[in-house]
Amino acid sequence: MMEWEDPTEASAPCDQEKGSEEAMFLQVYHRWVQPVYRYTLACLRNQADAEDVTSQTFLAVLKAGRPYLNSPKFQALLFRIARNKVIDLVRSQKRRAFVPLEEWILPENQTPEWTLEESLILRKAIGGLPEDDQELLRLRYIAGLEHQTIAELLGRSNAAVRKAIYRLIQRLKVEVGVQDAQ
Amino acid sequence: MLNNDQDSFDKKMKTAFAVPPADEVFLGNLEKRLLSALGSSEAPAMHSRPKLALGWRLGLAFASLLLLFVLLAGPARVWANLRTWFLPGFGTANDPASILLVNEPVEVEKEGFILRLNEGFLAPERLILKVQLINPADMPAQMQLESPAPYLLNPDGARQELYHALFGQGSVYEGMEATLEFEPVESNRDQPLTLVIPKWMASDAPNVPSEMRLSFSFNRPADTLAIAPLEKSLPQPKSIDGVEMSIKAIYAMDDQSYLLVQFTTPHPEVEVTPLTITMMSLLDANGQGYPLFPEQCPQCAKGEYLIGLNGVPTNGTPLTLSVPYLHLAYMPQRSPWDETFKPSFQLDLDPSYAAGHVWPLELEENLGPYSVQVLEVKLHRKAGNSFVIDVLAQSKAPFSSLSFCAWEENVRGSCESLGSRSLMEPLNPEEPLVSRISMLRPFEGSLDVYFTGATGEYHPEWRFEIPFNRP
Repeated sequence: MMEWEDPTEASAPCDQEKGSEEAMFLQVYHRWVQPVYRYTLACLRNQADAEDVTSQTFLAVLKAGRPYLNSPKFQALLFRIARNKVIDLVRSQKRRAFVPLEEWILPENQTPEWTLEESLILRKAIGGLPEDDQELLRLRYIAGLEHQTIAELLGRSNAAVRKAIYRLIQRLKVEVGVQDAQ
Repeated sequence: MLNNDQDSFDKKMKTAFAVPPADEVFLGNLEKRLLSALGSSEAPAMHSRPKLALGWRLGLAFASLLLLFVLLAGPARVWANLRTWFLPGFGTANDPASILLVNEPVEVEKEGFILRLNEGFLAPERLILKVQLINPADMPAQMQLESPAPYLLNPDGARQELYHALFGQGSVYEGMEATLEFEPVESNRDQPLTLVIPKWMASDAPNVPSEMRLSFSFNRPADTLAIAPLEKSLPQPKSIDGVEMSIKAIYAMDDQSYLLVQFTTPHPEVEVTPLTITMMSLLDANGQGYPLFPEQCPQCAKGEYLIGLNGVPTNGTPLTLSVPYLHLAYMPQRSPWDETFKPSFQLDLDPSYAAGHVWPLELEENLGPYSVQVLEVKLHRKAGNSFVIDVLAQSKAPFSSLSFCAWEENVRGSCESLGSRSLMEPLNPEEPLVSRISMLRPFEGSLDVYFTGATGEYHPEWRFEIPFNRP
């Protein structure tokens, strides 16, 4: 399975003013292209669609220019573009929703962190979550966004997002942990 | 302990989803495409030399402000307010108390080059600086501001980034000129500012100094700088086929006079171009001519032009403004990058098509009275999978040239280059107009074709009798 990148490793866009604008954009691109792609792929399943949306997202950022990159809410803005483009595509394809998140938990792709049983339980548990909760997990664990960014993206408070994710994780942990205990 | 468990499970969750990373080939291609876009006018805001698209933004921003103003003030009051005060080089101001100026030119010298701030305007919604770089000994022919862009430095160290820049030469050309626009902040009104120009680019002068800094402050304008319109009785507007020209105001200051004219057309995206101004003439009763020149007027509304007049008599002698030529253009300020810009039609390019292949089409581009009928699309030439395509269309007067371009996201297309042009107007007006699209990169598949422009002209021979009674 994919290694998850720590979003705190990269510098914020506003720290990059010293370089040229091109370098600044490329730095942002290199930092965020994989998270954006993984998020869109997780929503859409289709590789070509995810590539299209990722391309459109970065082209939109490029077009929006430096004020955008300098925004303290850049990460949220970036994912808002990506998310809107995903939604547009889903609507244009007359699909009802994003790909269910549990479909990305593949028992055959086991890692040292997850046993086969745990994966199956987690898959079932996530499959029982409403779409809003699945989106929180998608943004947090596939896109790798921080709580604050998710809050800005979804228009909620940091505390509300932090609490919601905490409760979700508690719930999943208990379900997986119960299985462990058995 | 609970927190540690939570953190541990949080980390574990990060490895739970088998979402693969993006393909390296895709990433490489996307990066190339972005780099290419960075070097083209498609990404104006990122580009080190702001060009046309920034003008679009400015226009849009101004239109939005005007609309907001209309909504807030009520349409009837708008013109009354806008016409109250006038500042040369800036335009009309509805509230002169809100405008601050750099009253005297300020300059700094570095390594033989002089950076001079000739004019500065600070309005609630815009901060404009007109600067000049002078090297009297050896002025390079081609100069440009280079990345990183100029910025303003506040006393507290805060930076204000450049919003828009315009380059050119003024009526008295001495060195390179630039008009820089910033988004103002409240503290600009009462604090000294420093304009920092990190870098100039000069094709012929490698020794242009870097990091030039110029300190200045905004002040209340002198009373003589803000004046009311001169004339109470203005000539009646004139119109042809729904295109109207009106003289909105006459201003005078020292030996300089100004006309504020406005053009309206039956379609909001069809505009009278500045070429019209350059073709006008101003004569007195003795046939003496006076030069006219378009003035910069960032505050002017869409369709408004501020025209400077030199040396006109002040004794009330009527002058005649002749308008022999009206140049109109439809230039949608959008590109295929804009989601709001819809293609006119799609074209399938099959490798088996030979030159002469015709795609029969019957569709209309709705521009109100200027609507354009696309009649036919023809494969003009083919080399391998590179194509030259002609779009044949019919348009009513006054348009005599039309432009279409083709676009596909992966190969891009003629919309971003010179690969799209209008052919000469046919001698026989019954013949269709032709726009030629060159797709020089090998391509097959489906293309989006956009209608990107039209130009035309009238020869109205209008004459306006203008009194010039100066106080």
